[in-house]
Amino acid sequence: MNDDRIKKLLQDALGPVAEGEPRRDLWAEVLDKIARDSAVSPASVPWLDWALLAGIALALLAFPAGLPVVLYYM
Amino acid sequence: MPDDAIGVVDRVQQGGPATAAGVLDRFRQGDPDAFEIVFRAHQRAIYGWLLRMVRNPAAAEDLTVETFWRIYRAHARFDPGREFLPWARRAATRVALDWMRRQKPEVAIAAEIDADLPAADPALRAEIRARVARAFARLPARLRLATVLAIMEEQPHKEIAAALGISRGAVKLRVFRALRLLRNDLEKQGIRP
Repeated sequence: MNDDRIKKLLQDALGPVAEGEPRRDLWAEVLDKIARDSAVSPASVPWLDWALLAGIALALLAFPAGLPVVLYYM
Repeated sequence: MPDDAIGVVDRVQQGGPATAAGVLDRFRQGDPDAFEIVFRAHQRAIYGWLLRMVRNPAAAEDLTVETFWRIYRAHARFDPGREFLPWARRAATRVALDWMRRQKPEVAIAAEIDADLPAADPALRAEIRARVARAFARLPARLRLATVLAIMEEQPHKEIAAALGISRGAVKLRVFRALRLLRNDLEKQGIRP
C-alpha cells in the first residue's frame, strides 16, 4: 500500500470539515472561565503558603506567648 | 461592545497597523477591553483552525474558549512587535494537542477487506472508512495533528511548523511516520490495496 493510497483512504475516511463560525457566544464563556480562574480557591493557593500557615499555627500552639509578636509583624 | 469598538475589530482583523498595534499593546498590558477586541477579531480564525485539527464543532467551540483563556493568562508574554494570529494559533495547537491526547481511540475489529473493491457496496466502504478512522485515532496525537493539517487540510508545511513550534523537516518526518504506522495498522487489520 503506497502513501498516495493511504492519503486517499484517509481523506475518504475523515472527510472535509465545513468552514463555519461558533454556534454560540463564546465571549461570555471566556469571561466566566477567567472569573473562575481569578477567584481564590483552596486549590489555587500554593502548597508553600499552606505549609507556612500550618507552621505558624503549630508555633502559636506550642508558644502562645508569641502571639503578640506575630500580630505585631502582620 | 460599543459601536466604535466594532470598527476597531474590523481594522484589527484587516491588520490595520496603527490601530492593531495600539490594541495589541493594550492587550499585552492586560486591558480587558483590548482583550475583547482581540477576541472578536480573531475568534473565527482560531475556531476554524481548531475545527480543522479536532474535526468536531462542539469540541472546537470548547477549545476556542480554552485557547483564549490561555491567551489571556499569557498576555504579558505577547510581543506586540509580532503578529497576533500565529502566536494565537500556536496556543490553539497546544490546546488541540492536549485534547487529542485525552481522547481514547476505539478498539479495532479485524476481518479481511479489500480496499480496492469497486465502490458498489456502501456498507463495505463505510466499514473501510470506519477502520481507517479508528487506525488514525490510534496514532500518537502529535503525528495525527501534523497529518491532519498536512494531508486533510493541505496547509503549507511552513504554517504547520510555526503552529507546532517545530521545523519544516520535523513536520515532514511526522507525516511520514504517521503514514508508515497507519499502513502497518491497516495491513494488520486486513485492509490491503
